[in-house]
Amino acid sequence: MNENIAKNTGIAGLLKNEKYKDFIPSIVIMIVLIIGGNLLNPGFASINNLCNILARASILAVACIGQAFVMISGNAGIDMSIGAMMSLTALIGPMVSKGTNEGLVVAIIVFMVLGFVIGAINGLCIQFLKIPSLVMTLAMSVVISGLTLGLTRGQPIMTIPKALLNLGMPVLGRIRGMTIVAAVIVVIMILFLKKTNFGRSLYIVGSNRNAAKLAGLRVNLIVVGAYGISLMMAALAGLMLVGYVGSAQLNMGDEYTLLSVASVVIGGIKLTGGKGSLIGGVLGAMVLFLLTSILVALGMPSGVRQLIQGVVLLMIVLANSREAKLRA
Amino acid sequence: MKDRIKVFIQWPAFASLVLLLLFLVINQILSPGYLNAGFITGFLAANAPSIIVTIGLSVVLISGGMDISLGGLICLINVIYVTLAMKGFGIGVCAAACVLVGVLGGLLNGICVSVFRVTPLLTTFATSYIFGGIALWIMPSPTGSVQMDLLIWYLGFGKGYLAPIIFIVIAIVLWLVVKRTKMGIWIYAVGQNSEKSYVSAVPVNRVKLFSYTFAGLLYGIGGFALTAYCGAGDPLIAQSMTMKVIAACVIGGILLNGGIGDSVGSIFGATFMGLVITTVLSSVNNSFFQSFAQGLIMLIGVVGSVVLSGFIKKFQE
Repeated sequence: MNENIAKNTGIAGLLKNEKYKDFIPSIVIMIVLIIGGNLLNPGFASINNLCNILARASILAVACIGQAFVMISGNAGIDMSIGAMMSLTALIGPMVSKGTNEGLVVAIIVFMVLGFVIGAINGLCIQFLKIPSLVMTLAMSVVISGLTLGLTRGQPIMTIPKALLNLGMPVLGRIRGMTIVAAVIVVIMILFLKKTNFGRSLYIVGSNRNAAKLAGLRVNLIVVGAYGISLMMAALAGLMLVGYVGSAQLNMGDEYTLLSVASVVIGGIKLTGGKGSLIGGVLGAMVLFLLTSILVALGMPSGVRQLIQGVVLLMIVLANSREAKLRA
Repeated sequence: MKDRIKVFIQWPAFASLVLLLLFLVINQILSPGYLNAGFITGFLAANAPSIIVTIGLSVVLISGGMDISLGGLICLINVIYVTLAMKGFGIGVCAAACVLVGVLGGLLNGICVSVFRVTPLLTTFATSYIFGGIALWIMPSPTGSVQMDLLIWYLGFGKGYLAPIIFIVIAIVLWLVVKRTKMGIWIYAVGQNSEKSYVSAVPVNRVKLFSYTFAGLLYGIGGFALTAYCGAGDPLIAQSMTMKVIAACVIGGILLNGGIGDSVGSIFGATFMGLVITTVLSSVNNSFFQSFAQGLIMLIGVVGSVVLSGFIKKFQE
């Protein structure tokens, strides 16, 4: 026992420790990006700028919690409807709240329930009708976007509640209110995943469906729950997004589908399921936004930015998402 | 005779054929006499590209892979065609460039999936950024046009029927030729079970590489057809195509787990998707709810097709 502890201390131990191994690529990339960004564009590493990046990353961090839940549930689970759900909440949320802070509470509850219900429909179709996760959630995202377009009639008119707009303001030193809200949500969800029956069962369900079934876990219920939580988190992220941006654009949340997949993958969660943690996803979110802001600061056109993001993502996937060799 | 009926019902594409016929009948009841010559030519011209691309994707799916980069790749093909056309190159050079770009893009996907063994979904997810990014880099906003001759030919040749049909026939023939060769059998084998295929001396990596490259070739042809139909360059032209094409394959009876399905069947799926869009456009008056209605019908199509084929399987047992 003592030997084990001795082995796992120090930097060499940290590198070998299974628990932290997945975080190391993201942390190393983050440090490289911050130093590199400051060299290319002095002032990049200023506290104010970093806090701004952190605020944007915290929206993605909340969105990718849901993606992480779905991916951990395994069976090639992926949720492509997160972005559409975020757009829906971001555009309709302020309309429901009627611009008042009391209305905001109503809107939060309504949209969390709505998100859970739509997500549960995804989960039910995937579990019981055996529709591939990718196809089901993609199709659902079209339905949700269509609903958004229909309800806003293409011209969202809104007054955003003050409390929501204040999320983008500095609260603690330079740290934005949004970052603190996101941190609270992330901590709650980590505890939910680690300490409750549901969370622990989710890992078992993800690593081996049959074993979980034989062990008496209610696999269907847990998977449906994971998809429900995914869109519930997307609803929260959508409200944060509209608070940060401060104005409404159609499809404003759509890019978060891809970003959430990317950040979760960078964070070391595998598509095969059963592994990974939320912290990995959060770190991945920060890496992505650091990269994006460096590219923006350098004045790259959006095409080149997308190209570089794609290449970086491909490199990361090449490094940590490889399948086993056929020749055993 | 009875056996033949049984084989027909067991055909993976049977469910989609039923769905398609059902939808045609409903349409006929809702708006009698819509199936006229004008409708058919317009429909063919508009849907030939996605039908060809659907055949390409179905080959990848049958081999057990996945490709969500096709939207980005077709955008890139469109952009390159129009850029070359604006520089004064002829139709032949531009078309060859389309096919070449498609093949190279497919090859990149194939190398990452087979040689480097990255999960197909994540590989093509990353490459979709790369292809889409290059397209946006070359052409930041919609501009340009194709040669006038190409437009006239695509929309007018043989009363407007023939050009799209030629494209579709080329794609089908390519697939049928591959299906008859050893490679065709290997594609199904790898899709069913890659480990068992490996121990049976099937060159699994080569088969995967081939299926992505072949799909890339068909994306090239489809992208060319799409460019001929639209007649202009747009870096985002096909971004929404990915989802439609995947849904078309699923409706067409191709399992995402691989090994089952027929690319010809996926044509029914693609036709169904095309019909849904035209029907909704003509029958839903409130334009803001059109995309909602399209999504809903598509979702019902996917669910219906999967449930129907499951039901047929259960019925036989």
